[in-house]
Amino acid sequence: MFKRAPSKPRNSPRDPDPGTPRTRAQALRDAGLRRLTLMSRTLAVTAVIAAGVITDVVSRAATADGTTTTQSKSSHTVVKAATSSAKTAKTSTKKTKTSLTTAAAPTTSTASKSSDSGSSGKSSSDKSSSGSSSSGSSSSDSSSSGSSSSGSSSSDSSSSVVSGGS
Amino acid sequence: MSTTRPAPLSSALWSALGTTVVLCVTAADALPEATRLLERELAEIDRVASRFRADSEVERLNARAGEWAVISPDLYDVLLVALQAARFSGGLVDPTLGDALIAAGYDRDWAELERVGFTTTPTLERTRRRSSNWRGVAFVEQENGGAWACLPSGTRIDLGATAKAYAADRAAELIASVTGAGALVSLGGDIATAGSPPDDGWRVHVTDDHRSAPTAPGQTVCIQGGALATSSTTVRRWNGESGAMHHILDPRTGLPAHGPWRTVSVTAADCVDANTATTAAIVLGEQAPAWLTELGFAARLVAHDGSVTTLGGWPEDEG
Repeated sequence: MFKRAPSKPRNSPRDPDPGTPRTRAQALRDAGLRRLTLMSRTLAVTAVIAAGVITDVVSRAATADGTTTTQSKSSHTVVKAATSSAKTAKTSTKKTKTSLTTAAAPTTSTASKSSDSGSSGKSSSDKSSSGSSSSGSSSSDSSSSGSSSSGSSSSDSSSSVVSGGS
Repeated sequence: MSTTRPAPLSSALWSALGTTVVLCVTAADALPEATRLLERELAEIDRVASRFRADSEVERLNARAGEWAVISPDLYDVLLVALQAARFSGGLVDPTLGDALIAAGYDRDWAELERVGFTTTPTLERTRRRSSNWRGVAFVEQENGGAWACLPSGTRIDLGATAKAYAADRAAELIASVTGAGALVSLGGDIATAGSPPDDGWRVHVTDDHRSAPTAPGQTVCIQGGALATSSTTVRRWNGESGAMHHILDPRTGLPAHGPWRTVSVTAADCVDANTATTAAIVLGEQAPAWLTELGFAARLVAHDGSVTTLGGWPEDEG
């Protein structure tokens, strides 16, 4: 089991943007992940349907007298508890967010070693490159890092990490 | 310009998850602990999400498509991340392409395929699929944080890119929080950072292949935080019956994406989002610049002829 890393702040359906009042139904639609609460006397779960288009959900909930009823609801409807003794449904703790999140644009490196970079903006060019790799070894203050290797380590202030297809 | 030499970064490189791992930290004494934490995270993500391990949790779930099965909180997390990527990209980044990838010949770990070759002959007809299934994946969450999960019958999950990006995000955050050092984690060139960056930022060279040297054709930029990912059709390529194949499939057809871009790099708040954006842009093709601009991403797109388009404040290449 790995530990959960501290999560970055993200929007969630339960944390709408300030100044943007939304109804619960709207929040559910916006979230896309449909949470449907199913409750019974012995189990409290939250259903998350990852579908954008779920047209019908059938849930079974135990009644107080032990019989079972079947309810059919639309995906936008929270299924109500069928028993007075049902536990309070647990709210999902899963991280959800409402959109892809952007970041500040990168800046030009003052020590760019880029070769064959283009002239400006939309008319520059990259010549096709081929991958290279090196075998693992330990080094100190080497002049570059980021290419493929196995089990090496280094200490360097001027190297770049390579981001490319994999 | 400062004349002070920046403090050295300590870094380690090794192979895991079928790709290259690069770890950089801003404090040399943090490297051993950071390495241990990252190795543990990678081992766990491999155990949970690898399509190439018969004993991985996702493969056990794939074997039970069409049935409800209990999954751990870890797999539930990774699946939700992948499905969110599908939703945010309008289905362009689809975790239910496992069968299409296998039909295309990508049925084993890439390193093994490179070593022994492809045992099946991929054909367009076998690879083509008719519909996307990601909308049909269903969960019933359990109190322990896990879930019951049900894949649509005939569906095979491939968590590939989003799982690695998610692992990079998690590991970078974990390393920074435990060691107190600024951390950069690169898994196959998809980069997540956390904590305080070096004085001049994290220097990243964007190019076609993450295995390239930092002097390969491309551009070197600096990021102060967040993440940077690159997707490219120039890597993991093979020959099929109908021509060249690569690993980025268009979910709308089940075939390798054939748009105008060979390589796309994007910065985002986290690596999952950056990876989602780059993959979607490759698939989306000509509409990618407008889509990325609408979402506010800084991006660098390289066309097949080598011409470069930059968006959203991404610095222009220096002449």
